[in-house]
Amino acid sequence: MESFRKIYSSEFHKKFLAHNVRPDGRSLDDARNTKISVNSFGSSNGSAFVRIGNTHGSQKLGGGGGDGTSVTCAIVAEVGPPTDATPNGQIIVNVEMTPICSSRFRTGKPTEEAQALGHWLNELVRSPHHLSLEDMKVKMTRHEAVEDDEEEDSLPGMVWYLYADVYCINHDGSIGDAALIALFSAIQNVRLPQLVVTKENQMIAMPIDASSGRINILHHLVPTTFAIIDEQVLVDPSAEEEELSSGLLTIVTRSDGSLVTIRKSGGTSLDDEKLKQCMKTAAERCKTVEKEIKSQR
Amino acid sequence: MAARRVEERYRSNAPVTTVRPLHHSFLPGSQATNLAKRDRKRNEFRQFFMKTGIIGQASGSAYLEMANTKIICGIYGPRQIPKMEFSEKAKLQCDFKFATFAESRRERRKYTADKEEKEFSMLMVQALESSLILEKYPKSVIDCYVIVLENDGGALNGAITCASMALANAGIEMYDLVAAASIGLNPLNGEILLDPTEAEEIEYKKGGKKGGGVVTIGFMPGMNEITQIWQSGQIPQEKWLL
Repeated sequence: MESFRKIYSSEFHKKFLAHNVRPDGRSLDDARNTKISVNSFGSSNGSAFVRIGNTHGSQKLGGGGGDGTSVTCAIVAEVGPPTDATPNGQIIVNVEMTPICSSRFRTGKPTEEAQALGHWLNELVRSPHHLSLEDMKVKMTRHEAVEDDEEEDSLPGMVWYLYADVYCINHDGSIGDAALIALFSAIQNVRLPQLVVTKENQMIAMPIDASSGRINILHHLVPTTFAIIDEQVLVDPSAEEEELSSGLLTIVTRSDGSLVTIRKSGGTSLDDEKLKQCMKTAAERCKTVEKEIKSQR
Repeated sequence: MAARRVEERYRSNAPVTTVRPLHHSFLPGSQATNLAKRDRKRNEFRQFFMKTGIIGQASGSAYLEMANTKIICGIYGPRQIPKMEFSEKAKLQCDFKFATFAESRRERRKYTADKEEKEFSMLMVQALESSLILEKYPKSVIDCYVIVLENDGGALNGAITCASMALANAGIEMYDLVAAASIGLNPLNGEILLDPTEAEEIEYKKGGKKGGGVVTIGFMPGMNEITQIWQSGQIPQEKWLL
């Protein structure tokens, strides 16, 4: 059975899809469960770990996949001067698809897939419609009161630059969904510390307390990926299904119900009716995932 | 500088040079790193958590947590050597990497492996190679990828233990599992302590009147054999001849 699945992957899946069911037991419009846990990494300013599928964490001996996608995102805050383009600082997203997550990747420069995904996330996160960066001014004080009055006001106005690094741990399809959910969950949990400047002009971050700043998220974004296999549309595909599909469709919706972006790749066309159905499914999934993200604050 | 440019070319960067504020233990008069005070006994490990089989795509995988230190390891292979060269036994390749956000007491790590990470990769190969029956897998390569998601001391010994578990999970034939541990020599009182944290490691390596340093040992418990010893800092002779 396992060897039939590996060698005649397409035949194997078609036998299931003919009966509107998938090898892992899901129906075609059934998304996997999403589980989020936040602030696992104390060395960062905010972090999130997202798992799509296999959320009960059962073990499976290696090979073959079907184990669920997992992605972690952690944010490190650094200080820099504001520029004309970034008067309130910036969030800088990078995606690392390390060889640990799939046999498709090797060490070395990031794959095109990782670079493209990183660019897409950067565009979403920098849009002023979803996030408000107005609270990103750095709060600084002198460590010891300086006797010289002239030096009192010498602290320059600085802003935060947040490096958000998305590490892919297990690549089992819909990696963009997991990455975006992880990114927003991490941003939601970022705490920006108060800074103290010493006599040697070193900046020191104070421990997090009630006065530490947060980032104001106006709307949560929830993506849903669909795979198109022979006129059939599969919600939240696994890595195997992605490989077989002739095209992928990603719909990002916002918590207020509006549509943020649609990205469709591949040469096959999709008729009106099906696209509308997909948008409906995406809007429904948005509600459940958003609830999960907000519960992790 | 050239390496920096290659690193930047494929990634998004801030428009200006940015600085990471220092950890609050660097504040003058801070009591956060107090070597005299330790909340566990000198021969006591921190709390452990281990789990295998967490990366479905890999042939074997393991996750290890020692208090705040979090390490994940994935094994791919045995698979074909890419360049089709012939070898009578398998080659073990280790790739050790800190996540950029792994450490709180220093600047962010780079995306590409720095020299310390390359050294750790090499040390891992040395520690694990002799535990595996590599002759069973001719013409193949076993890839071992390690990411340290958070480092609070004991990154190398954790990585070795974690990788050995993952190799067993992948079903690679071996003589024995390798368990690694680290000890630190406290420069204040010359005491030897088990499983130092990151803050302690930094202070121990600075040294003092009574020496100071960290030793990592890879050990096969079933065979009672040591696969590797790695020491940094300075440890006086009489401490070695205990």
